[in-house]
Amino acid sequence: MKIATASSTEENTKSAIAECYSSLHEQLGRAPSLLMAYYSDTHDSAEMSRLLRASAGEEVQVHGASSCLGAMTETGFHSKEGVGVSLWAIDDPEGDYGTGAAVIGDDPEGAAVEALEMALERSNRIGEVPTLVWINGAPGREEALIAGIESVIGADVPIAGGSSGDNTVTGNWSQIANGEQWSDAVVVSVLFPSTQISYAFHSGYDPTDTTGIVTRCEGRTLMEIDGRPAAEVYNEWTEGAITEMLPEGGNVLALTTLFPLGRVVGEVGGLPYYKLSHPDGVTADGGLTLFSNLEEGETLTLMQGTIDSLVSRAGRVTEAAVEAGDFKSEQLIGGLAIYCAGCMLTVQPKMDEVSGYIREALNDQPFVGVFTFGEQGCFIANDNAHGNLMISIVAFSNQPI
Amino acid sequence: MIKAVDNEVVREALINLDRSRKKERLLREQANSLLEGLEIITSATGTEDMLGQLLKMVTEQLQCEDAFILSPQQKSMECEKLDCIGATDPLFREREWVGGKIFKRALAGHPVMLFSVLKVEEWQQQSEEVQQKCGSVLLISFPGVDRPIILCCVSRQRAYFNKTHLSLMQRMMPIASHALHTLYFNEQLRQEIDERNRLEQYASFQAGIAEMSASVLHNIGNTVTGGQGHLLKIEQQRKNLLGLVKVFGAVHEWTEAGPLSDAQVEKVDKVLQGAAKILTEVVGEEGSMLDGLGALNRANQHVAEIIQMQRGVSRPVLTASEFSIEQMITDTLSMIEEGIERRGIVVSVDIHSLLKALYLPRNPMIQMLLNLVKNSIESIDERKQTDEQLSGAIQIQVSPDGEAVRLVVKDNGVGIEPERFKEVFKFGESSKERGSGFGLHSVANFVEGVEGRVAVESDGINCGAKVVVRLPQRMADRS
Repeated sequence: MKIATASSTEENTKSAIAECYSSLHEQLGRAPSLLMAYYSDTHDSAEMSRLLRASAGEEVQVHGASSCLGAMTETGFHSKEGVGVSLWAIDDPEGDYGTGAAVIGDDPEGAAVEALEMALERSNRIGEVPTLVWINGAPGREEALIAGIESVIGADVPIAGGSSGDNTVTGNWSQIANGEQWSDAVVVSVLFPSTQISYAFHSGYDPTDTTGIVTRCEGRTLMEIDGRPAAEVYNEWTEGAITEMLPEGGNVLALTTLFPLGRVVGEVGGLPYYKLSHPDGVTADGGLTLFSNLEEGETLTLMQGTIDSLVSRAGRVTEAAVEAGDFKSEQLIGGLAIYCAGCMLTVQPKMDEVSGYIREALNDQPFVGVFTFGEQGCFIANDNAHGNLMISIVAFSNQPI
Repeated sequence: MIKAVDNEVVREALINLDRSRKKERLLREQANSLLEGLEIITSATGTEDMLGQLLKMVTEQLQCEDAFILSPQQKSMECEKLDCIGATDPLFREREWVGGKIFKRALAGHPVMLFSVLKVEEWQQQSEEVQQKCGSVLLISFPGVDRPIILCCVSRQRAYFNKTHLSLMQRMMPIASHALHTLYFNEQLRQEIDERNRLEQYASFQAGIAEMSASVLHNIGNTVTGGQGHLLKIEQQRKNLLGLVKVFGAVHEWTEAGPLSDAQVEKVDKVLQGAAKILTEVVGEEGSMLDGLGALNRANQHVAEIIQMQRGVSRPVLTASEFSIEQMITDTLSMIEEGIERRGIVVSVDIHSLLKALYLPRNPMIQMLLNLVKNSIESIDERKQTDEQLSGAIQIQVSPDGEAVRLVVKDNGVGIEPERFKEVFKFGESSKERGSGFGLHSVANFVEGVEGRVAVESDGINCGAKVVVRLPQRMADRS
């Protein structure tokens, strides 16, 4: 069992894929069992999908999605002027892997079920509980995607992944699987590795003592906190972080990255832990748009982060994932990382450091890190969740199951 | 106003601590489960009991509704058919289980968790009732005595099992396997001891028979010696009567020679008086010959009684023991393997999957089967004399018949005329050129001895024959 990665910042998709795939093949010595691709929206996803299929062959399961600006691997942050592609591949003849996809449309739960069943069929393990489900969907209905998957295989199987991102938050994201491409789909891979894995899902933020109740919301738009316009309350909480956007509304993604809103999802040793929502815009009527659903009556806590914590946090989440596994760090063979695109944009100049921390925690083994518009992972209490500004890590070992 | 109430380092430490606590709690729970399981398993009285206890323990520990155990019919990993050798619900036991990729994977040592069985080929062949009971399934294998065993844990709930369940089972299975092997070898040892005891008892019995035979011979000898005295007396009386015949011969000569003188008449009168006396003493109602004959008759009866007694005591005792029917047939065929192979006869054996063990006299049953198979071989040999192209075939089928077992030995040999069906089991009867007529008689004796039935069927000469034996699956023990 072996994991390999390859990256390119070539603008030309064909050249980039040729360079990356030949490197992967050389490292593995043969075609992989599962191939993943994460690329900036500057690449043509249709061509990307076709080229990967042609390079790897029909037997190889191909899973991919666009990632904000590019991706990172153990060799660093791979994005040059917003262009980058990274491939991650696993060769595991004793394991089984399958990838499926479906258009989300108006039925995200149904799409998740369809994609999952297709993935199980392709893995040749119909009816069996996978070790891990890895997903990349279009942003917007992640909670329903998780619910759909859990409706089939139960809530005990870890689900990890992230929502496909683009470079400009303009909906230019895409998903690819086995030679096809979409802009509103969910791609699901089921992993039945022959060896043990472990995982962790955390945010890089601390709670403050500033809290409020959601008194009105519409899907992913937070209208009121404690009976007052949400944007106004948030601006007060953050001591004027979005003042300039209050009169007419607008994009506040970059302004709010260090101050997300948290909701308690569990408790550890008497202290709560949080799922985060990232405000990305102010509406004309004073609401805040988010990258995750809210419900009226929920308590919101203002969270705070720092550049340093966002940089170092990824490494510590990776350490937590390794710690959670029933294997030693010397047995690590690689990993998968999901890192919030919002965080990445905030700490972009220090992304090589972020990559270095993850590499160190993974014992210098290969990994790919994806920059997503929403993160999915499995919390400490084994519940799958979707959140924003989160870090999701999966560590692979060579310890047999 | 932004004020941190905790920081990520504290939270990380707490998360790690909480994870450690959870791991420790899980390990403690697993240890308790293992201890409980170990106690249950080690208190089992035999392999069957142990498997029953294992199923009970598994359903309790995993809090699932059912569990059952499958074992491939063949030792190879190509598990075409599997027997259910234990189940919490008889429904699983009554079904035939056919192997597919899921069972193969489990048998290869890879545990399998099924969130649903509806699209799994092994379950698609099952009835709706079974499918409804199996919402989700956890399968794990462990080494059985001579072939692997799959433990199937069943929940009616879809997607019920998780890695905690799996982890517990992975820890439990080595203990179960070890216990099963230990119990099996104990049982084997006990059977061996039983067999040795039986042989010892038989040797004592034989010694007793020898001793009794000596005593019998002694008694018969005494009786014969006593009779010899009476015979001598009778011989003496015969000689006396012979003398009388001579005297009567002389009297006859006198009467032939002419009228008798007074002296002759007086002598004849005395002869007649003497003869009457002798005849009265010898053959009269209280005569000595009657005594002698009576004594000889009594001696004869005494000898007959002794012989009868000896017969009664030395009749073979049929002692039952539990044995594997498959093994018994294998052992039997191995005894005549060479003859079968030399003739190119194809022997097929079909044992019903539900039939495992019998409680009958094993060695006599081997002898019975041996006789039936030999009979078939000889029958095939005879038919080959007129049909050289014949490919000999013998089929042995064993199936349950209520509380009995039905054993059929079928061949394509010379066959038998229907009018001789009843005769073939008599001593000395044989339809074959080289048959002694003793084999089938011996078969009939054994079958009768265990209160079974035997019959022969054939469509006639050169049509083959079929011997059908019906025996109890469990013979009542005899004191």
